[in-house]
Amino acid sequence: MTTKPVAQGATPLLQVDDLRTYFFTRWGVVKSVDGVSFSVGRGEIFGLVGESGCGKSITCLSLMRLVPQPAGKIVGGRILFEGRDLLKLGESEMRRYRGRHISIILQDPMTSLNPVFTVGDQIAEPVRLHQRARGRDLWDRAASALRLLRIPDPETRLGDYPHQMSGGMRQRVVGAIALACEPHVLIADEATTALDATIQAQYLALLQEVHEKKGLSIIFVTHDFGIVAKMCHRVAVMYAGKIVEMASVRELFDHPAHPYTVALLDAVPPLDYRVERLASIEGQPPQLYKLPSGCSFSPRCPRSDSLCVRESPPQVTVDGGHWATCWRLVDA
Amino acid sequence: MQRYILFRLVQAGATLLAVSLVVFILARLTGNPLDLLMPIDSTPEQYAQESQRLGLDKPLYVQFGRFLVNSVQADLGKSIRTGRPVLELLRQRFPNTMKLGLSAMALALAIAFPLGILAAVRRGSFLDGAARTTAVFGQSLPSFWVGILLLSVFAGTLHLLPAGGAGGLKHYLLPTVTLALTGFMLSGVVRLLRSSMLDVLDSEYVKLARAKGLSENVVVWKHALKNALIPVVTFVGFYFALLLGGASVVVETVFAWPGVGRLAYEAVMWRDYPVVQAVVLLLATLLVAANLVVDILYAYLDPRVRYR
Repeated sequence: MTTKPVAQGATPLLQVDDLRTYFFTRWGVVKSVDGVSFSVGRGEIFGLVGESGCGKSITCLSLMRLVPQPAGKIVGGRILFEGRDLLKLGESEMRRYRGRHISIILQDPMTSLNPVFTVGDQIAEPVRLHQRARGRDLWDRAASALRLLRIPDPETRLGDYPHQMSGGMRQRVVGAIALACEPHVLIADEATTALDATIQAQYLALLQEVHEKKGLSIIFVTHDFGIVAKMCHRVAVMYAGKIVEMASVRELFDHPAHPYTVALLDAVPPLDYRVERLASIEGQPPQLYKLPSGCSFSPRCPRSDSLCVRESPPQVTVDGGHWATCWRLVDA
Repeated sequence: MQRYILFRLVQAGATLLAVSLVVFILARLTGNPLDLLMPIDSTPEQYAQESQRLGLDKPLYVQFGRFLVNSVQADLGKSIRTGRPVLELLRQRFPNTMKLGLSAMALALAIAFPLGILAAVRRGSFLDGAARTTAVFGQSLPSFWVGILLLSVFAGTLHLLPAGGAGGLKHYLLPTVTLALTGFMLSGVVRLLRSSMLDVLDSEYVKLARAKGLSENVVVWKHALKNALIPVVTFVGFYFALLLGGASVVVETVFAWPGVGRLAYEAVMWRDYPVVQAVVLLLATLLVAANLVVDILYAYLDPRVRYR
């Protein structure tokens, strides 16, 4: 594990306070994001980890105000970008932030490009929209976005259609679209999950490089602790729509405090010896429309007792910026 | 690509051959045209003489062979009833059918496109419900009934529009509306466009398009629509051929429209073999041609097909 300097600016670039995104479905209200708070500093890489369905992706979409309509709705909280609350903006004002100040890389490179337009068109689109570039200048910028993502021969590649490219290439194009307008915040929502291991390593190195070159902040959503260790400065662990633990990467790996975090880390297979059976967490993640009373993790938690089942756990500071919401913290 | 085109042409030829055989046999199963044409007091000798003149006394395979050989030389024979060359009849009638078909298609698409797209964009709204109801009604209302209803109201009761025949723009109105509202062009396109639009609007690339900061109009009318049109185009070509074939026979008959549909109706009534065969072959050729055109359009819309 390598330690990277944690950038701590005076005011965070992005600050999320008590964000709540609910889905109103026929089965009831699904609290996908239920009181999430975190902040991302300038030049910081912030990790968001958790199982599938814990609300990571909906948190990301909420940041861009692109929660699936009409069922999804951001019902509360603040999203401060450079001190401005994005939730208070009108729709057309919000559009000026998307793709320009905050960008996103989606998970699946095979489906996130539009099959009927050339990659050049798709990269140029936000540049034309936000920076009013036209003609030669526009294509030069699109080409340099491809060059930034190390796509060979970018000028020719601009005329290609997505189906003419491999999955790894396509994901670079998606990256180029996200970075074309030089945003301040990049959201990478499981951006490397669909790539195979070698391509994944290349892609991560590429993002690292862009991060250093442009000094942009990245919100890295993943369920892979290996990626967290390699990329992130700070990390938040999400469970059932809530952040259950937040710490610097080093602190989290060395002294995990929440039983869920401990269980997740135990589930990472060791590389240095063979195990008969991979460790797993008993039970299923809870249905988000009928959460258990008390702590949501209590039904699966080896340390839970009657208090955990009855009362919601408090947020306990472990050490400096390290906190967890739990009644029965694991003492490290 | 050339191999593919060649394959398609051979396929088209085989289809038309099969169609001509089927229609040849079906026409003859209805009975002998001479039973209808000959005066009631004609002698068996006159009967045999006429049969010989028309070539109906030959074995079926000889008749079919002669029909095929003549057809490929653009000789479709003469009408048994009127003695006029069939080709001339078609040349006279077909433009009328095309004009009616095209105007009905234009009207149907002019309604179907915005309706299908808006139904998907505002899913679950009143408009969506209205679009789906329209589609169900359009599909289930028989065209002859709608035609007669419109006739009795606008031509009968209100005396606003002519009851039949071809002439000025006024004559187009009722048959066009009937043909556009019933049948699959309107209802099929509404339902298909709605569902394919819903699929596309749910896709990751539409999510990404929104994440670029594009306005909803650009997302819907540029990014989503071009993808959603791909499956719809297939059916527009197919429905148009259907509209010319099936629907026009009924609607042209109801409105006394001088097109090939009514020609087919009359020919069937009189067992006018050459005319029936020619009209059916013409419509089959149109259907095959429509499918070919659709495939070419496909390549224009979908780059994945273009490069294959």
